[in-house]
Amino acid sequence: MTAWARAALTVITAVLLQLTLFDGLRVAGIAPEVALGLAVAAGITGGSTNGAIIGFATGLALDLFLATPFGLSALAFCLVAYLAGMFANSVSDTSWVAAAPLVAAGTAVGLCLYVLFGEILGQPNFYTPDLWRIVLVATTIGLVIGGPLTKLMRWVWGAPNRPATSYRPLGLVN
Amino acid sequence: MTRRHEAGRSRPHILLVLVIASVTLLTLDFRNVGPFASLQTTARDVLNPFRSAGETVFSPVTGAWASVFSGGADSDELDDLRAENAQLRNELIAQANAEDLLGSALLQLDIPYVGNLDRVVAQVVAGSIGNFDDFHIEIDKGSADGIGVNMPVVSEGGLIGRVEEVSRNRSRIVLIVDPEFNVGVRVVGYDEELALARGNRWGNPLLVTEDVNPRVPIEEGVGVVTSGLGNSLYPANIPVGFISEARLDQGALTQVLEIEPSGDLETLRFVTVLLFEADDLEEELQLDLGTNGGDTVPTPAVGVFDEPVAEDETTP
Repeated sequence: MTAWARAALTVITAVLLQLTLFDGLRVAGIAPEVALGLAVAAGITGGSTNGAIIGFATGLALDLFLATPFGLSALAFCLVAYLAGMFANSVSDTSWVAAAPLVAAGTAVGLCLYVLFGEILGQPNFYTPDLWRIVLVATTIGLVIGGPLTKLMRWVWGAPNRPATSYRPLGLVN
Repeated sequence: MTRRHEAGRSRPHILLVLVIASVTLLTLDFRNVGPFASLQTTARDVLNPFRSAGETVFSPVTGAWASVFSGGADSDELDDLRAENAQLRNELIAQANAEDLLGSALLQLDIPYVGNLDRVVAQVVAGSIGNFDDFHIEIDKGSADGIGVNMPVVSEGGLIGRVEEVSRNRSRIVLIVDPEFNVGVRVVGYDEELALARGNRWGNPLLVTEDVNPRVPIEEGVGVVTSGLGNSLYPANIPVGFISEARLDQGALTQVLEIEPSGDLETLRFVTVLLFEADDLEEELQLDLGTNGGDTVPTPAVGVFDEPVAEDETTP
């Protein structure tokens, strides 16, 4: 199976799981942002360009089922995945354990971008007093799911799961 | 054997293409371009069976999670009591409205009333999706059952929302508490007081901020129903709620009304979609105006909703 076939399978599965399972597993009323986390992990492990493509596809699939404008998640996810890829370039340790905080931080940035674009588009339900609670809880959950998501995306790209200090995710040098 | 994917260099032009694609999609969505909307619906229809299967498989997990974090059996009992309470409130408004309408002799007009409208009873299969979509639910019936966009949705307590998006076997409902939700209302017993009520988020009453005469004192506790006027999306006389507060605005130019919704939105399990389209009523009214001399704009009579009896029932 090629990397892109695995990527397509992973994206569709993640979006369906987000809708059917994770959306029901709310912590303090906040749903885990698994699809967003996956996009960030794709950027960290696959590089900024591949991450942006995965982020776009994930966001687009999710947008099909959201009441928010179609394309909004795609825009936010591809940007944050691209940024995550660029940032991952500059750090030396991207093991799946060390990547968890990156996924969490990416989740926070992704949510803020999503809300920012939503506000620009005049969406009334984005910037609410609950926003910071949503970001805090989703980021914390991102810390927990960041490792497994990174490991999953390593599998997608066919990257070796070895200690990170010896692995540079973007095909750069060791 | 798998080959390591060439993650390689970052290519900003690809990001640019993706951003442009996203913006284009957003534009098409905002402009509601027909073929694009059909494409979305088709894509949803393809994925929905997988989604439904996933919901079935994971419902024990999500159900157990919800029970643990929202009170379990006590919560079920509370839900039942809330539904019963909503039903009683609906009956109260409908009764008051019936007395009001009898007085105006509108019942004599031979117009189908809300209670006779075709309807589809549907099960709520999903609540809000994600963290930024608090005001929608999804039901397990769609265009295959005759449901169309903008049809009113009611529960035991009265109006709860309208259909916003329809797939073949699912529909998305926007709830009455959405800040972008507007409905034309009439205060029962005050026939001149027609206004627009809008949603005001969870836990807050609906608001009417204009068009109510400040010199007409409106009592608290009075029922409010849909007005059904003009091109309203809703037939007349669907219970909406009770006046919880009536006060003058700062300039005393109008009255601000707060309306406590009569429908219990927090515990919805089944809802009823009224197969009503605004054009239907308009045509009926035009026919009726022809036979009645055209002096009066008739109002459909009282709407009291039967409690849903069967999940798959579609009453003709």
